[in-house]
Amino acid sequence: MSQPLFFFMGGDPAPSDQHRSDDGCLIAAVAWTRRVLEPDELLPTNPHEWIFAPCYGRVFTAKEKMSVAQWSGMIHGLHQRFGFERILLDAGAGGGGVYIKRAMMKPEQLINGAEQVVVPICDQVDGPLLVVRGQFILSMFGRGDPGVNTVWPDPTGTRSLAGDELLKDAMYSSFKEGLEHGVIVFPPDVDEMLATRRSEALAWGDERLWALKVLDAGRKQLINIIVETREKDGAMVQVFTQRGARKFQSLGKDDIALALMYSYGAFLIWLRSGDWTAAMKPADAVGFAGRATG
Amino acid sequence: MDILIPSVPPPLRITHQMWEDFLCDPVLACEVIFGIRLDAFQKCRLRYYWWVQNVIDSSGVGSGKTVVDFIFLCLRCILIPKQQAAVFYPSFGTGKNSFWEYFGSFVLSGRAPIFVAQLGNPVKLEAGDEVAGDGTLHGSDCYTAFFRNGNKLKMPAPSIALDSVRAASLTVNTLIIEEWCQIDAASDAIDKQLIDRARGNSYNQFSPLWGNHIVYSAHAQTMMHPAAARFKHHQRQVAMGNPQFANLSYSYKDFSDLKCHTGKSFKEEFRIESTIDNKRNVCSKSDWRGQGFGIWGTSGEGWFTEDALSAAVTRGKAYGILPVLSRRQFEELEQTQSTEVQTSV
Repeated sequence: MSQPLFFFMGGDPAPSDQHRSDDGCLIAAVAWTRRVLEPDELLPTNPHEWIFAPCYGRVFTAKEKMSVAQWSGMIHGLHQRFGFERILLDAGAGGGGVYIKRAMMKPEQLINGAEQVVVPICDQVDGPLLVVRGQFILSMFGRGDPGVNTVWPDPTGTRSLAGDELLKDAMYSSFKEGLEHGVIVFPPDVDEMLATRRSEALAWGDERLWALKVLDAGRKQLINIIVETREKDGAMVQVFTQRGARKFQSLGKDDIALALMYSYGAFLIWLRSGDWTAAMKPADAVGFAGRATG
Repeated sequence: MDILIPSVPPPLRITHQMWEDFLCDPVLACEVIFGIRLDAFQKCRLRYYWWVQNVIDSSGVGSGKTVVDFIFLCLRCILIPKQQAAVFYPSFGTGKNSFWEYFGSFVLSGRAPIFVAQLGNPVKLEAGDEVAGDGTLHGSDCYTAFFRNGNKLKMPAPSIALDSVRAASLTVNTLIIEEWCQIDAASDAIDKQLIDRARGNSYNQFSPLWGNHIVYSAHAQTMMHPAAARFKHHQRQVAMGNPQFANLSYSYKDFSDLKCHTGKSFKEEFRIESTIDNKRNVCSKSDWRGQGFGIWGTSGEGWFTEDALSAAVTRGKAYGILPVLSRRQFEELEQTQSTEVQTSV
């Protein structure tokens, strides 16, 4: 394919100094347009004109005891490898995402065991107040984040949705829609890969093979997400909260599934942000990264 | 001491020393009196029943709840003076066929002579009551087992539809309510009548041993079930550290490789895979969590379908998606694939 590629990250972080915390996960995904665009044609804003493929995953268990600084360094390291357009992290109180956000704003990061000077990765709420020069590509999954509000606004016109459960419902619905409309595609499952292209897969090395296993496990976790139902007049109907959101439950772990949904959320936020549609004079476009200078 | 009865032959007597040991260790009592060995998790279950006054046992099907219920009630009647016990089933027939059958099997098998020696002579109370071959009294609306020390174990007809009003005059010290979730779903019998039955006088009402006991026994349901309120109340008490409450959940997977009385392992003897598979195949996932594993779960339906995810994998194959470690690797992958396509053309 000759279309430009855009990479996104979703993360369900779980920094821990003790052995009882949940697993955390980082997912990288790539997106490209379904058709080859005309020269100087703007990128389509409709998600259905895109293909979105999770292409990397890594799980960190409590055994690894990843600190906040290590999580931050890991995200910076992956950003160096992939060049993400947008990153979406869980902002839940239990996950430590807020602390990781702060750590990612530091110019020195621990990457591959060595301290490196990097351009900070910042969100759009606290970032502009704390950092002068940075990459403002981080969104925290919670009401109040500008990117999240753009994709999942409150239909009544207020800035954010009325409750966290409505936001969760909206994200689960968006991912389901993307899956059913053919936007989201997945790599093959591990068993099939090892059965049909075993030598190739074994030559990949641990990290890449584990990425395949993680993405495979993520699909299984997605299947284990259920929406609560109850019996009414002989039929099973979905249960809604007072604000009208569905109640979701996971039968088992859901760290990878959430990270997958966050990565898709990052893609949607980037798509709606319109950053890349900003008008630019032809003279200024010369030499601009990614464009031909002719 | 009530339980030392001279008419019992000396080898079958429960001596004072044995009695003290048995009170402290019901598992030892079970092995000596009933002549059967329990699996490790069943021993735990019996000890919980013995030492905790309010127990909800949500264990899955096929985990041996009924036999431990039987042993527990009989041990209370044999070892604790002035003890009246009762077991309630939502259907009288179910109780006859599952619980009361154990009297017959232990009496006739000959492997529990000490237990048989502790059974007393039935006293006919009403016309129509019959003494069955197992030595217990079979009445039209209540089965009763008499013990030599004067204690009684009753299984009354439940009359669940009438909120168990027939049980109104019954007073016991130890009560087991079997399939209590079904009873809670069908009526208010537990709240209106059955809980009040466990009000007999005891030596020390606050003691975990002498105090009155109630055991609720049934596999777990979903949190949407009418019985969930009682389970949540117990769960709150357990979380608060109240030693008078316990919630248990065992499953068929807990059967171990320890040897049982037949010489086979407990797993080989009692874990019947074909039955489990048949049951699992007809249950939804959340139902199976309750019925199979004894886990109180949420009822629900899958949000992401397996078909949609399989289709996503199929589409991914068409695009040649593979995991990568960097942007560059993905671009190289793309180039390799386009070269392969050109070569094949």
